[in-house]
Amino acid sequence: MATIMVVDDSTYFRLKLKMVLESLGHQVIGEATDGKKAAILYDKIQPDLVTMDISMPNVNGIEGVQLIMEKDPNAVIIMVSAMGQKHHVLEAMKLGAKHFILKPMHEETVKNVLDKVL
Amino acid sequence: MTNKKRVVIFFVSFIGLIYLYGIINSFIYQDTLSNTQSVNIDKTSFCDIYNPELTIENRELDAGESNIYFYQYKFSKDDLKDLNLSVKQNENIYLMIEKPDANYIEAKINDQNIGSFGEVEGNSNIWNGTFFIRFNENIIEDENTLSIQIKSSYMTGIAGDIRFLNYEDYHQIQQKIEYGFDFIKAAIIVAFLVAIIIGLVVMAWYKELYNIRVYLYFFLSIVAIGISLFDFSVTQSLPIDYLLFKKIIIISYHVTITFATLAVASLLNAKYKMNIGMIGLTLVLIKAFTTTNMIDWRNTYTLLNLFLVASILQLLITVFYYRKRAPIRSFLFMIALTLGTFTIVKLIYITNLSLESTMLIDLPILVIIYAAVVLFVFYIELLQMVDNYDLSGEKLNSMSLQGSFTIDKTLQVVGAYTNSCNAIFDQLIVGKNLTKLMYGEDEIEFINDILDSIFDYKNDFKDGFIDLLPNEITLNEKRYRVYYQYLETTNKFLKITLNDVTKSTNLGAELEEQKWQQRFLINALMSKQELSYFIKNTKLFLETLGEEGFTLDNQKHLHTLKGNLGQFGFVHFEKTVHEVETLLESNAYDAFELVTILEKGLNQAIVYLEQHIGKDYFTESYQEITIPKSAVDELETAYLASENYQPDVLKQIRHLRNVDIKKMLSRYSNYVNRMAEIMDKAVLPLEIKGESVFVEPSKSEELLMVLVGIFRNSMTHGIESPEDRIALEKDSYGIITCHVSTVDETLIISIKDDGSGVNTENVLQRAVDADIITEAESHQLSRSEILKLIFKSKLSTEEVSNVLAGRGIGLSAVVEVVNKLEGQIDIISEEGIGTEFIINIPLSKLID
Repeated sequence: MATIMVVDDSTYFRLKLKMVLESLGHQVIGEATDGKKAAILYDKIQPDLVTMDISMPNVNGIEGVQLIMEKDPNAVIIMVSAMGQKHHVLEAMKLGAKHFILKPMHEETVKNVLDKVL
Repeated sequence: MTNKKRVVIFFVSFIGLIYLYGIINSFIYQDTLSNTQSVNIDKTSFCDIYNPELTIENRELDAGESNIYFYQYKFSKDDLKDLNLSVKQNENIYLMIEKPDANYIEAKINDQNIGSFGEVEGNSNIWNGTFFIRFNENIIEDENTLSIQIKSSYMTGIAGDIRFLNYEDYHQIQQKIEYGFDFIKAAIIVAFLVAIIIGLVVMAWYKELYNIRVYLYFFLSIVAIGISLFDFSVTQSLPIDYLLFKKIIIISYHVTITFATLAVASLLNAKYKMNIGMIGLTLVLIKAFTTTNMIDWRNTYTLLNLFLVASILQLLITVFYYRKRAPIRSFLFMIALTLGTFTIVKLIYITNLSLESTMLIDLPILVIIYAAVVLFVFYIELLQMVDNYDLSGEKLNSMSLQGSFTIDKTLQVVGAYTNSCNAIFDQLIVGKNLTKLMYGEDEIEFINDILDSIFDYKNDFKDGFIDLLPNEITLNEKRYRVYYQYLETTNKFLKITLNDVTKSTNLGAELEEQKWQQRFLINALMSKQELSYFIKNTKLFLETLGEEGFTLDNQKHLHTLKGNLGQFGFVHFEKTVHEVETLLESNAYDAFELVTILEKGLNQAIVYLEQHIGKDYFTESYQEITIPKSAVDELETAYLASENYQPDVLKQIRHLRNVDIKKMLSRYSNYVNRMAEIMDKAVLPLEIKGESVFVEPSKSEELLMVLVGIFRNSMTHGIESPEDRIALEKDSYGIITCHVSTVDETLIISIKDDGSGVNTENVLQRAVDADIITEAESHQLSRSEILKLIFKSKLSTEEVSNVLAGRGIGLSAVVEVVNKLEGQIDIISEEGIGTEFIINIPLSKLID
């Protein structure tokens, strides 16, 4: 079981991802709606893992990764991306994100990715 | 007959004929020689002149000054009788000297000079071939001395027979030699032409074919063949600078064999391609530049030939080890190998033994043959590829292929790979760049970026990058699933496995489609509200797009939309959006057309949902969402607190609080039921029909509250007791119906019952009693005017007030509120049939 922070601007997807993660036996200990808020929250709650949406208003996911990695180079961040965002995913992974989940997300793919990074 | 067979037959016959002819010719030559009435003086061999221990009968070998050597022989006139000279006098006798090797040769009989070759001064040399010196018999005495003087600064002397011949025999042998040369010349020309043709084919095809390095090796072999040819022709036109020439020749042998071995190793994609022949080649080159002495040179290259043997050995091992990769090729290589080995044996044989080297096929020819076989193998490769091109689609499609190979950090294919890869890619993949092999032009940069990241030592977590690589590709009209595996030993590799899924993809596509559709429907049912809201917003967005076009903001929005589509399972619409985005990137698009495409995509999805879940899926939930009021309040407060809020937006936020008037009316359902219970009346559940009209609760609440008057009126004065209703031939259950509609921004609420209707006489009486109107006036009033009297306060037609009615909140209160809202209230009543109250209120009064 891992403690997880979910970063997504959409309430619906946060909820959905939370449901999936919790059904996999993990605990969602924090939620944030943009990269900056995520970085601030990360400091406070120190989750084992962060799921980071790519396109978010204000501070996007890639900047979010950068902010978190600056604070904790060992942070485990998984990008959540839509079709056609692979370039952004690559960019984020170069900055230190470990893996990615492609929308639409399914329990089994989320599980596979978590198994790989945890 | 296939092309391949033709080529095989051509080469086999070509090489076979040369050999056969060489062997036959050498036998014929030997036979001719032994059948002649020649007189054999000596049988010399290489380097006799440097061998002081060697004593041969009849031969006196003296070393003179400054590299001059003498071969001296005694013979009598009787010795020559075997020549069978004819009776006529002054017949010519021929002195045959086989393979002399010197700067200058001079022959004397009894101190009389009978002929010479070469030049006394200078570096020109005589080598190889057979030389004849003609002299007249009359110089022969009873006892004679034959003296052959050789001037040789670094030569090896004579390496063959020394004989006397008569004219007929000389003529015969000369002819045999010439025939042999002619044939070999012809064969060489053919071989050379073939080499040129193949060279041209390679030039023309090199872009599409295999590994360019393999070609380079072959070209070097061809160059070496050319030099060998040169060797052969030059040998016949002496004198030349023989040492230099010989150096070139030996180097060319090394080049041929070394690079041919390299080419074979490359073709088979052997782990070790470099061969020991390269060391030999390097040493030979060094030696060639430092040696000025022929003897030294010969001794050196005899030793260095061992490297050639090693190179051939490596070839043997390579072919044996990798034979499964290319059975046909391996077989051909075995032939090449045999010939190559023979060449080496011959080399050693000539240089070390060289006792009876009379075979016409000499070293240059063997090298040519060796190289020709390599070329042949190469040509087979070409044909195999041509055959692959010719493969009908049917044949290709019937095969299911799987292959794997490895790339290193240069992104080039290295090491062993399964043979089927050649078929999958339709080319030899060794040394090829992965991105160019597998991916489209537009992806190359991105893929290279990913691959570089994978091989970057700084990224210790490779999985994410690997998963970014395309997991399905199309090659030569076949679909492959691609698996990647990162391997780290002393070096870093990425193993790539391709699995042909063409067939299963075709079969699976349908299933996949069904799966997606199911997911879509399940998602839609489970997240009905979200989805409805989402679709509504998407529609609005598309309208905006139609009006504003693809501004940067709208493009961003479109992108977000796409992500959400995926989550909701709109697979097809998602693809549509993706395609539109791609078109947008091209910058040459028609905005209107793109919006139409998007609208079409959305509509298809909606139609699909309606077909499978039902039409009311949208109509039901479309218009209504549930948001906690507190959330809206919070939002409003937050927005008001923001520095520069816009009144319009605030208005929109407040609208979130609006409630459907139908929902507000539904509270009377309970009220009506309770009243019916108390009054012992029977009513059907309150029916609320019509449009959903959203109004602000705070502004509408008063109206809703006073409407109780109407319901109460209907229940007390309208609906009769069940007994009465039955007597009146009505259904025992009364009906009260509400209907909500809007006309020109006006809300219309109608509340209707099927009760007794208003008793106008009763109303008039009470109005007169209550001093609302006079007796006189009462006679002049029309029915509708009388009906309106019931809206006047103090007029209560119910004698007994009870808990539920008659507490002052009567119909007058309704009128008061309606008037306040600048509305109207009307009453239509038919005695015995029922009463309808119609309220009109401007919507603006109910909504901010």
